[in-house]
Amino acid sequence: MIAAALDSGRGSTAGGTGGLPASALLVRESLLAPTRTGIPSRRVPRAACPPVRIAVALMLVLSAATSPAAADDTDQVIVLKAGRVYTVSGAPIDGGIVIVRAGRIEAVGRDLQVPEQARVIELADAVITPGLIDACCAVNFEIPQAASSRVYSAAQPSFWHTLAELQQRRYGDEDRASGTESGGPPSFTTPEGLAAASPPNLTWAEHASEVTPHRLVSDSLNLFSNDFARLMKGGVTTVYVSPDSASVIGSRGTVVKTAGPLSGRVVRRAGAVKATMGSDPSRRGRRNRRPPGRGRPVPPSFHTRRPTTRMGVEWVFRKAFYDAQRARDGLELHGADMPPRQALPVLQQVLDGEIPLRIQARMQHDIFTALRLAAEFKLKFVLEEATEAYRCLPQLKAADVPVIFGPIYMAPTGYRRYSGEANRPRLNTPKQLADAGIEFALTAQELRDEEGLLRQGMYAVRHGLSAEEALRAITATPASLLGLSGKLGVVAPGAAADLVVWNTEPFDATSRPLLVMIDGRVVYEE
Amino acid sequence: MTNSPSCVSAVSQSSGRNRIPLLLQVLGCWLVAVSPLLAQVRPVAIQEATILTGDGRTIERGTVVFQGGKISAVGRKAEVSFMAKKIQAAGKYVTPGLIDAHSTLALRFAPAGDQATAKAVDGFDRYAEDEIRAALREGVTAIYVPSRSASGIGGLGAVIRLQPRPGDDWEEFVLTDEAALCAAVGAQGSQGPLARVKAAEALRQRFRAAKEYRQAWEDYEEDLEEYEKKLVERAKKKAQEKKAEEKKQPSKKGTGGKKNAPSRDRQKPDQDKPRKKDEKKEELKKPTEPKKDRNAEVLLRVIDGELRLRVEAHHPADILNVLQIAEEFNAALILEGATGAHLVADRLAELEVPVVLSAPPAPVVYVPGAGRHARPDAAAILREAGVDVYFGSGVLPSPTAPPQLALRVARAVGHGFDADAALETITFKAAGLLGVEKEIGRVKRGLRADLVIWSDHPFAPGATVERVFVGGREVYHADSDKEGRDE
Amino acid sequence: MNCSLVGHSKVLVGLLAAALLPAVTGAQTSAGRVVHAAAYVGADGKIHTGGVVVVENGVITQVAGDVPSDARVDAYPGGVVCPGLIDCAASLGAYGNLSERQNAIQPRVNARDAFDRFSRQLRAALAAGVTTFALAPDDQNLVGGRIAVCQTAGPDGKPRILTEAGPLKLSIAPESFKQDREPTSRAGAIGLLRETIEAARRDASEDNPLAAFAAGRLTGIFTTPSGADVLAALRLKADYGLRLVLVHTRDARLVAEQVAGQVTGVIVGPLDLATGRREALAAGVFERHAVPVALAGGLPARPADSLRIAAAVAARAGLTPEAARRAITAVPADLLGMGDRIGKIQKGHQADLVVFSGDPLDLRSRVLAVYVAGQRVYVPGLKASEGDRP
Repeated sequence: MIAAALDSGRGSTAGGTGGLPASALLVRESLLAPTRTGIPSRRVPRAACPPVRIAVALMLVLSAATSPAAADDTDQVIVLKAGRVYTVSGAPIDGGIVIVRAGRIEAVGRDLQVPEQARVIELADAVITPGLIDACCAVNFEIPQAASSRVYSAAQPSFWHTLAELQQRRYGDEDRASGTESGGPPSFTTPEGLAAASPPNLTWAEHASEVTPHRLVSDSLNLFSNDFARLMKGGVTTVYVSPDSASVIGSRGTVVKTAGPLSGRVVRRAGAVKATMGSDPSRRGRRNRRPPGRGRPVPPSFHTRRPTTRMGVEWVFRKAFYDAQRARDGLELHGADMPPRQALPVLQQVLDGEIPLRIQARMQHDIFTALRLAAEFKLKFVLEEATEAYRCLPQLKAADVPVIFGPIYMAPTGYRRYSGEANRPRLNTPKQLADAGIEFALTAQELRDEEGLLRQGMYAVRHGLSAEEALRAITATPASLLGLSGKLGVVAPGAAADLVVWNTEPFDATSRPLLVMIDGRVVYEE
Repeated sequence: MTNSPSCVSAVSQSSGRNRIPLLLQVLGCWLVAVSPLLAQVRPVAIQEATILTGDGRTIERGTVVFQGGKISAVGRKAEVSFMAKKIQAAGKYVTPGLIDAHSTLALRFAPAGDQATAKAVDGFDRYAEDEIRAALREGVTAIYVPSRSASGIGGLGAVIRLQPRPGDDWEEFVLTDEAALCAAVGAQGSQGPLARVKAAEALRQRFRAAKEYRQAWEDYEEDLEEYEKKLVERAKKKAQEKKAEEKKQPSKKGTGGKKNAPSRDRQKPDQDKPRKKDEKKEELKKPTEPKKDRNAEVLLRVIDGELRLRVEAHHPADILNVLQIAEEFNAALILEGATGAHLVADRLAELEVPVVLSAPPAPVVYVPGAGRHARPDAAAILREAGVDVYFGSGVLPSPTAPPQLALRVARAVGHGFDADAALETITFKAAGLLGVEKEIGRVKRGLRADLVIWSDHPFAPGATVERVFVGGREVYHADSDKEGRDE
Repeated sequence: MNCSLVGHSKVLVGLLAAALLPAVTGAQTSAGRVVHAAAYVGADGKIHTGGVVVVENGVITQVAGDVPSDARVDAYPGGVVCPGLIDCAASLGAYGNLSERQNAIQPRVNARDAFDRFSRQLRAALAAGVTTFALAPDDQNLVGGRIAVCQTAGPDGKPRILTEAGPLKLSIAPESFKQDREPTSRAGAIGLLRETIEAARRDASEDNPLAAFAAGRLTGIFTTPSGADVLAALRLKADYGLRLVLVHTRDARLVAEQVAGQVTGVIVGPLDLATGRREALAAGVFERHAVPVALAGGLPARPADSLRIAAAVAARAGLTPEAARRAITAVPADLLGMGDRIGKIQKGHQADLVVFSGDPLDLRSRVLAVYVAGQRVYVPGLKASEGDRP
């Protein structure tokens, strides 16, 4: 599916096999558009589907595939007519029309003049929302290793495999493909077990130092990852790929679209600097704590000075910003645990507010620590994850700290479970944040499909949040937290044409995307 | 076809009242049942092609006609019926489907240990569509699958015809599930002389044990016969004694009647024992039956010449050991892998042992272990010495690896192997080696229609497989092979 | 045509073995020597009839046409003259010896220092028609060092270094990140590379290969095993204007469009008889996007004839025969920056020639003779070294 999505988005080659289904829909609907008035029921065209019409549609599809003008759908004006349009920026519009031109939304409203030669997509009683935005997504972009293409490597050149070896490898590969850990469940009592418990895709952080804000997640990014297709099919059109929590001050995240032509996928290469409070840096970074040249992990020592406690994490954070300040003032740096030289300019920009800062904290006291450190260095930041935010509402409100909350869960799973920090979640935290007047977005982080971003909104609604607020928390608010306010996350003139068409109200339990459009291209169609 | 008898019987059982509509119904049923078979029944003719028959002949601008899964006509002037489906193949080459004489394609399970009864066909994943298609893409339609264990006896190899979506017809899928008994000696690369001795001795021991097993059974049967004879004799004797006794003392009737039947001894041994001992008749104990050993029975079939023995061995010393074992037990031996075979080529020729070369090409750098004697011109050396050489793709290093049989043989030709004999070794002669030459391996009337249409001579540069038929059914077409192209 | 060439080959070998024995030992620099075969592989990769190659002082002076009357003629009736094969990804004579693990950035390492000219592997490669190879640092470092272009034999029959100023070797293969040194991740690797390039731009000293690379004067051969790695490399290229040759096979169909026009060429492989379809298709995919493709031989971890195996496999998976022949001769020469000196049968080029009994793409063809700089350095049957290993 991702192949199809990529193909259709590849500009000049959109007329290829992958782009065909999308254009088929477009052409078919435009054929009918002039003959009907108002908002026809979706069932009418479906039921009356004479073979002649199919034949005509087929001919048109073929001609669309061959003629270059029709193949490139970016210049084409696309008009979507739906039962309801949630603009998010304004009130919902029943029977709304969205006009898309050159990848952007040109107009949205009820009684709009449909431009001539536009492709009209009739969506009957379907619902249009802006494409969903996950502002703190943990994308699985494990990069497949091509063992067979070791050209220059001095690996053993032996091709003499026993069948047993071969089978092991085969089934090993299958295991990896299906996402299960092979070789039995990992033990969580040892450092190695803990390292194994966090899947490899979530530990892409650079471990050369505890402070790596000069490294970019976008450099690690695998745009070919199937996870993007999975996100896109869940209605998520933009994600902020956040680094993992293995470093005290980690890399900078990146904003990417989940589908479309490769050249337009990366919206922002270098985003916010991510810091982490709590036990994650000392827990997850542990496997790197070994002196150079040795093979097995050793207990932390003089050679491998890394934080082992919350206090240590806080110290590394403070020392890094302290050193950055001193370096800016032209003073000498002291101490054994200095941040890398390249990190200093980035930290200085964070201090100046030029680069945004995010701090991940789950427990109440970690949130307090984050607030304290931020006040100490006069830093503005966005709080990530914030499991126990409901216990810090006044403080967060007073400090005017926005929250990217999530995921919502009854009981933690995965690496979160073993952090020991996520045992006191509350399902109504979004409602409480809203009531307290704290700006917040929802995130599904590493969760997908039935626990994905849309369903996070649904859970929030189920536990008291209004549907409008929930929709805003997965569209306009994350966009504004990413500094893309008005460009993404709304259906408004001038915004990017990232739209999702749902079969029903998005927060219904039966909702599913019928069509996903990114930058004016249909990248998914049911 | 198969459904028609049951339909007919249904008719005969029906009552006469509404016979006509029922007959029509039945006819309809029969037609529906038969329609997929019609495709099989309709002849297919490949015309104007250069046919390499597999047994060394070339027919220019020839025609192959096949029908019902079998080849019905071959030749320049083969008659083509008007209703035949015609395939124009001018400038193209037709060969029999290539036969890979040793391949682990889609082989999922290896036997646990020394097990002669394990069958390779049980470990073959007949639904591994991608892997089977990868083989068809290289023109390979039949493979010999070994039941391979790391060392010692592995099990029974099978000859399988490759079809991406096999039907339920076992006959179409498996030509033989007992093609040969597989074994390995030092296949992992010998760990030294001691390991070599151990490996050879273990194999020899298995055959010796099989012989002893047969001896044990023969002895048992002899003993049993003797025992029964003696039993009868004794019964006779007893009867005579009794008669004589009765003559002497006709009053003792009851006890005499009891002694009459020999089966009585078993029924009440405790009562009889003391008396028996008194009578000193221990030598008439029934011989105990030896334990059944199915593994040994398989080995005995090898010793009796009913089954061939295929051994994977690489080091020349291992090969010599295997030769000796085969000689000792009169086994019809085939060598597999055999990267060191060229060093003992004369001995192999003398004993007329065929060799299946199935090791991957050896790297320039020295590789310790099994492949260290490998050289690319081994096939040529062996053939010149008079050894029958065959080719297999061996253990494929990954599930996506195709069996590149044609290129492998072309490479052997480049290193001195006889160009004229090359195609034969992977078609007709390979079929002979596997004992299926009456079924596949040639483009010949009456054989199964396993055919490949190539864009060029199979060994020519850039030659590709265009269409493959197995049992007359098209199983591969390059135009519909999405994975085979880059789009 | 190719099939008929092969048919002659058996007769040829017998004839040649007798006729050429005395010829090979003479190593004088003749004024004119003619390699006379039935056909030759042109610079366009096609096989042209009229296989006359005239050599003077180690350089090709005439291709095709008439045979000069006064010259010494080596006749190979039915043979095809091909440029000496070039493996642009080899470690012949230095196997297992080409990774310096001290630091991930090793621009001043030069592979020539690891070259063992007495290695027997060189002779095996020569016997298979490989005259030139790139002795390249392996993939364990981000910047592995300088590639040395070497020959399996010089005009005197002894192996030699053609140039030690070959391209720079880079890698973001997973083996270049390690747990015990920087970088430990891809983000770290790319970040470090970027910092290194930026530093090299500031320090434009003459003897720093990285400075030349950062300024786009020196080609970098860049190992990028996955499609994501290719995109990362292309981004570096876009940011700094680098001259790159990518080593990539796996995701060809995903990235070919992006790669087109951005790089000097792509090295595909190594391909062998067990290569999966996806990898085998890669060369053809790049060719259709007009990206010059070289095939990697991977010697000595592969069979000596692995270049020809790779070409045959790629040709069966959609690479055109012309491109396949060029992919083991002209293109690798170009990618190594030696395209004006070796890799083609063309006037003015060094006379590195292999005479095959047929099309070099046809695995049935045999090597009949190998010339380096106009001197015949190998004829089969002279030594027991024919084959993979002496």
